[in-house]
Amino acid sequence: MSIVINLDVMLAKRKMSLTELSEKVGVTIANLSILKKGKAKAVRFSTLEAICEALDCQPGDILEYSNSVTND
Amino acid sequence: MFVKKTNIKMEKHHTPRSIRLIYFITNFFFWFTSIISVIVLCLIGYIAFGGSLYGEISFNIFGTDHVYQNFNEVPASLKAGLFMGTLTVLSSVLIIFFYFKRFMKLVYEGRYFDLKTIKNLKMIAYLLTAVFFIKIIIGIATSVLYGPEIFDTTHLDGSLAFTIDATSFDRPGILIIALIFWVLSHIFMEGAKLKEANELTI
Repeated sequence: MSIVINLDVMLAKRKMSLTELSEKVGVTIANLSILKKGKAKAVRFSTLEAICEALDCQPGDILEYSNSVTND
Repeated sequence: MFVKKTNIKMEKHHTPRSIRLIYFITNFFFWFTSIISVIVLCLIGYIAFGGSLYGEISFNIFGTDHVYQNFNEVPASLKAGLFMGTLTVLSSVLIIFFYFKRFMKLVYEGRYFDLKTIKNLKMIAYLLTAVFFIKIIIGIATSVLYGPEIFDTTHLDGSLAFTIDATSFDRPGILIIALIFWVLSHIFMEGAKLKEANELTI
C-alpha cells in the first residue's frame, strides 16, 4: 500500500505512548498497533477524528501518500 | 490471502436457534447412520463369510432369476460383491455426512467465513460430484454390457431387502447439490475477504 502511517512519529512528538492514545481514542492497543504497522485496510473517519483530537494534529500529519513505498 | 494474526477482540457469538437445531439433528443422524452402517456391515460380513440366513432369497443377475433357500448357498463372488458394494455405498455416504457435520459445527461456532468452513464446502462438492460421475460410469458400463440391473437381492419375507440399480441417469439431483455447495464455497470465500477487510478496518 502507498499510504504511509506516521502514527509513531506523532506519538513521539506528543510524548505519548500507544497505551495512552488507546485510552483516549477508545480503540484497542492491538488495532492501533495494526494501524501503526501499516497493516490496516481502512480507517474510519470517526477513528481518524478521535486520533487527530487526541494528538492535536491534522490527518495529513498521520497519513502520507508515497508512490515509491510499498508495504506489502 | 488471509491474515492469521488480527488480535481483535471478537464479540461473543450467539448461534441462532435454527442453526443449533440443524447442528444437533446433523450430529444425531451422523452417529445414528454410523451405528446402523456398522451393524449392517457386520451383519452382511457375517452372512457373506460363513453365517447363516434362512429364508427364500432371490437374485436377478443378467436377466436370470437365481433362487436360494439360504444365503450360504449364494456363490462367494456374489457375496463378496454384495459386501464390497455395501461397504462402498455406506462409506461414501458416511464420509459426505462427516464433512457436512464438520461444516455445521463450524457454522454453529460462528465461524462462517473461516478457511476450514470453505474447505469443508468444497470437499462436499468434490465428493458429491465424484459419486455422481462414478454412478454414471457404472450405469453406462453395466447398461451396455449387462442390462439395466445387475444386482437385485430380495428377501421375500420382507427383511433385508435392497436393490443396487446400475443405472443413474435419472439422478441429476446429486450433481445439482454438488454445484450448489461449490457455488456456496465461492460465495463464502468472498465473505471471508470482506470479513478480513472489516477486521482490518480501524
